[in-house]
Amino acid sequence: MSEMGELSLKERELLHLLQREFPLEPEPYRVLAERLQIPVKEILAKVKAWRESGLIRRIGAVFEPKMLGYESALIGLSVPEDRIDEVAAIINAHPGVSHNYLREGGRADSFPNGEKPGYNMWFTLSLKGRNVVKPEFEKLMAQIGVTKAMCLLSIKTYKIKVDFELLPDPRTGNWL
Amino acid sequence: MDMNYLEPVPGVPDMDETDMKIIRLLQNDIPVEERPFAAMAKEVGVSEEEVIERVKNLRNQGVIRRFGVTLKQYQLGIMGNVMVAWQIPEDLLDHAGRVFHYDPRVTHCYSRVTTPDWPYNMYTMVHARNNLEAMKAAMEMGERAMATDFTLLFTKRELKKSRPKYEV
Repeated sequence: MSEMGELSLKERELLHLLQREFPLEPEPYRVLAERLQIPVKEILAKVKAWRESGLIRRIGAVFEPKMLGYESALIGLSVPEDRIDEVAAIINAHPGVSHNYLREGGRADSFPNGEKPGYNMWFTLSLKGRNVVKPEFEKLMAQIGVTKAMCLLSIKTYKIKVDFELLPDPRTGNWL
Repeated sequence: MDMNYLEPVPGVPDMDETDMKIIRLLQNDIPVEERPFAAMAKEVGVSEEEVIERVKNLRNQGVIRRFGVTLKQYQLGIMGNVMVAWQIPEDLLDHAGRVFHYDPRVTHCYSRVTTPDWPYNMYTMVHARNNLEAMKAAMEMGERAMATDFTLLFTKRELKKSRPKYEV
């Protein structure tokens, strides 16, 4: 269930700072304690509790894989219903795969012949090196024996931002 | 598909063995303690201040995209999400990219290569309170982005979701 309704404005401010302005200091929680006028012990207790409850999923660095020399692509596969678990097991075991989803296929009327391509398994493949993802994709597809598959390399990244606005909108006063 | 379509990869910045040790350790969470960098400093064999300086430097270089907590959307009441594949006229890709970039409901947006049976050239992840709101958001922003068509790829089942591991 959503925990947001139960959070006070002070707690939202704390989460906001933890998310967007985490102090890179030897004692980051003390800096936040002074800023918010909350005892540091209380802040540590809250952070621990939010981590326990799952509201906080991670604390620390989010890396930019490209800057570590990684290349990645979105891969769409058409997998027959009766092979989904078996194919997923092979794909999920690959060290370059961190996310894999079964999704509903595209709209039928989007395609010239009115037939859905039926791409139902979608995952990202990330590997260290240049021009390495496409050959690895082909190898993986040959191993699985799925013929309908596509390797969608990115042309341009327009946005990656996985943090959320927690404070009230200054115009409307509404919040999440 | 043409390999030349690949997004240009930036040069990997110069990093020494100490940076790499820090990157390896930072693939796990920092501990929830008054001095969260102390144990790492000890393990790397440098001062706490140096660890922090290096983390700041990695962030300024863009190796670390963000430093802080990551929240679980579901627990924030953001219980709907959908991957949207768009068809955008080639000359409007940057316009659409801007629309999606500035929309707070979009977390990821990329343009990608197409295939003969898959004409979608832009991809976004759209988040909202529930799937109906996510669908409405997609339709509304698609109009502003001047998309000619789109398809909604809702999650049927999560097969894997894990923290990526980087070798350095």
